[in-house]
Amino acid sequence: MSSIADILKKIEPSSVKGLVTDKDLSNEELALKSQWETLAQSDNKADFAESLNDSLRSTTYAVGNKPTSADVEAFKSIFIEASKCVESGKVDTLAHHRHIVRWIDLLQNTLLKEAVPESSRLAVKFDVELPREVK
Amino acid sequence: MSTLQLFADKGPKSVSFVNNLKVELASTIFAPKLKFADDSDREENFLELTDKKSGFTLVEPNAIVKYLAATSKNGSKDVFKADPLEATLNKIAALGSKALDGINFEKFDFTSNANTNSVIQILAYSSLYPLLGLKKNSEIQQSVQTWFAEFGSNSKIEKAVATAKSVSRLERVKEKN
Repeated sequence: MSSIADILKKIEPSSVKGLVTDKDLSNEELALKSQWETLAQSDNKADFAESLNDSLRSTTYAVGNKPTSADVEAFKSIFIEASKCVESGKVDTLAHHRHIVRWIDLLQNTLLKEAVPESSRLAVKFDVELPREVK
Repeated sequence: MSTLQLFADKGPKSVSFVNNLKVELASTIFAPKLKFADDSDREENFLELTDKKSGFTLVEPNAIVKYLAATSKNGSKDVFKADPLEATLNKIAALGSKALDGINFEKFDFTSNANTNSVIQILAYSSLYPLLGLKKNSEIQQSVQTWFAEFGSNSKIEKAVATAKSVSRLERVKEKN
């Protein structure tokens, strides 16, 4: 059985169905896509998670309401760290990354449903009571 | 009238200066009216380009450079196409000379002529500035050093370097006895 790291490594954005292609993106959207793809490669996962969570506060995907290859690259980059965060069960950690967890749950059950087997998906507990978010 | 605002990276490390240099070079070349905003009342220390009107915000320097290039007078979406050199330059910007091992810049073919309108050359010049801006570096190929000197000799580039230095808060490295 493949490890989740191997599964993530094998995911290629070109093989994911439903992504919006570059020709259908504006300059602003292309810039955001470029931004998240670059930050996903960064070694500083904590800063990346902070920025991505902040951005996802008001958007569905990394680039507004359009799923792009940036979502796939960011998902691959942050999934393992997010799993540790969810498994830790710490409410404050979960609350701090709540938008990333919501976004991962969306991707693993839609665009990446075929790529990520059910047994490897993030087990999001919807009954955890999170403190109200201060904006 | 543009509603864009640009805020400098106020971090203490070399990469913060590199980030400021990237966006200052890009604004000098592609959006001359865009200057670093007064940030004396700003709580955040990170780099940011934001559109006051729409709320559109970028925080990553390479994306800001590409956005300013794409939205300039003769700009095109082609600047967003991936360049294989970019990831290498990002490592150099973050790690300095530690990231130079095994890099052969000549295979990337950006050193044949200095072009201040080239996005990848703006990213390369900024990322290499901490290694080549003040002294020669024998770890880097001669062709790159020649290109670097030619690119930096442009008066607009010299002025942009001075501006980037003035807005950055670099910590001095203590001298070793």
